[in-house]
Amino acid sequence: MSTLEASTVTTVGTVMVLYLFVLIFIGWRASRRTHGGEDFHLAGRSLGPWAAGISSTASSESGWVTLGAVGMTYTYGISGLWFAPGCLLGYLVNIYYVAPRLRALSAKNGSVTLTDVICRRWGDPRHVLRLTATAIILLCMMIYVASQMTAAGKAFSSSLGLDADGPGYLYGVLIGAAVITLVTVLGGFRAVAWTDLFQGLLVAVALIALPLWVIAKIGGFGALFSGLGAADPNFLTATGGRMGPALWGFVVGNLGIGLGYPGMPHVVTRYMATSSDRDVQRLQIIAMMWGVVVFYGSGLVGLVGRVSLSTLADGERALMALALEFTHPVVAGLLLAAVISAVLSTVSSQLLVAASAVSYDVVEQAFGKARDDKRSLVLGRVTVAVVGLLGVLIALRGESMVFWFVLFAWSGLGASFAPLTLLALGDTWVNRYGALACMLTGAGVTVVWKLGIKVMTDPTTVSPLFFDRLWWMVIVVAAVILMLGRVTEAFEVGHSAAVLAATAFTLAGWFLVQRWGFFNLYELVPAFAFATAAALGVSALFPVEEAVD
Amino acid sequence: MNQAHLSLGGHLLLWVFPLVLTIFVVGDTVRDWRRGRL
Repeated sequence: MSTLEASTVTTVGTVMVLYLFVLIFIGWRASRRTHGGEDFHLAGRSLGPWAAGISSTASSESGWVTLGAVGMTYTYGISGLWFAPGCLLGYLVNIYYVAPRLRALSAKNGSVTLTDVICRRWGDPRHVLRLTATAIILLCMMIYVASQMTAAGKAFSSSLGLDADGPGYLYGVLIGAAVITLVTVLGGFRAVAWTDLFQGLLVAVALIALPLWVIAKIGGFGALFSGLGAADPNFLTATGGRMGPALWGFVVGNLGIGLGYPGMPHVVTRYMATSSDRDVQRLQIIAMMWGVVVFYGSGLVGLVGRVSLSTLADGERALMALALEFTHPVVAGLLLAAVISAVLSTVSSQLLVAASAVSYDVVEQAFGKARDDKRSLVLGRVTVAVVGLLGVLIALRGESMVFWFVLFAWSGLGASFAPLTLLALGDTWVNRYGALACMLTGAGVTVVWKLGIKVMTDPTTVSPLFFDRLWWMVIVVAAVILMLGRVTEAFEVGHSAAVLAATAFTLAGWFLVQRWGFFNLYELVPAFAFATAAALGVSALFPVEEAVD
Repeated sequence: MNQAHLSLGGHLLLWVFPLVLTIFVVGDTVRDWRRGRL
């Protein structure tokens, strides 16, 4: 049963349905311009600055920006805003350093996916890099997609005032997943970019208009700060009352979020799809300003929610609660559509990346099938549909598992690919062995460090005994990878050295957390540093003999 | 209602940082435009 009035539910529901139809319409329009494989995977490298700029940023900010980030300032006050400089510094690196160089590199060597960029940059004769990258991307993206579908289900059901665990959740997951999968199947990359543009603008307008409207209603910024100070004087400081290691862990961890951006395949492929260098210059201001508006908007929503609705059980629901409390049902419908937009714009991009990883990187490149452009398009479409369906099944079946694994997704992708993307764009001595070491180290250190944080802060979720014995599981996994490489005759000596280096770094990470208690630090920071060191070290010790173009 | 004020760090975090960033981004765009790269 809904807790809202029937007329409100009808109005909000109608706006939602209209919003979903707009998405399908955009997908249909994009499908009429999608004729082949490169169209489907990269929009034929024809994106303009608005679509590329907003799509890159809207894809990177999932439901987290309208739910989790809002919850940060609701819970911690002004000090909860530290994520904003962290993310925006990541944007700066991505947009001003990565975007122009990655566009030039991918256009020069004709690469279609981030994996493709890495493999062509360093040469990958036996597909070791391609298959490793695909495995990491696929695992992270599937989990990510499933968790976002779960978030969509929750946002749908709570928007209509329905029970979060009831049939409203089921319908939310099914409707959200069906619409966004259909749009992606139809129009591929172009549909994803166009719907991202529409949804990204909706999110930005919602996140800046709603808090300003409510601040005006409660009596201006003076009243906002007075209200925050009355709730807790620490809400008005940048430290939030934290001291010593807890403070530094909090600040470095929040700033460290930004390290992940250059490694997100669903974000950086936007830069590769941009039509010209000029458009890259133009997208810079668009994407940066979107980031400033959205991050500070969501921070303000949390602060305003704290002052005007101080009794919420869950601060992450502040945006939805404020919308229903302070605006007309039609506006509330649009604001709630924005919450779901933030989720769906990420899902579509991730669906496409997962599908490209299978259909382009594995089937077309590694196995050498479907060279024909029409067949490549059909293959891309079928893979999107299958990945979408799997995402729904995981979202409906293993909700708790999804939330567990999604913790690894951002850091895992960030640590495995962000150093590699940055190294690929610079002029370093890194080679294909270093690249393998970088990916494996990033993934390995992320997993052990994250598990360590869980053990130290919440021993009920991971048993300390399991963590104590983790070191030999790391060794078993490494041995299996080495045997696979040997049996398939894919590994050269440098590849084996890369696996050994990654094992050593992963064990070092485990040791730092287990013995020295380094669990105040967000896992992406050490994983990023170790992965970079592994790439540089292995490449220096094991140079590749033959020249690579 | 009691008057409450942001701390210095609060000011930096809430509006000084985004303002400086915005000035940088707009300045860079104007520079690109004047050089004919936009």
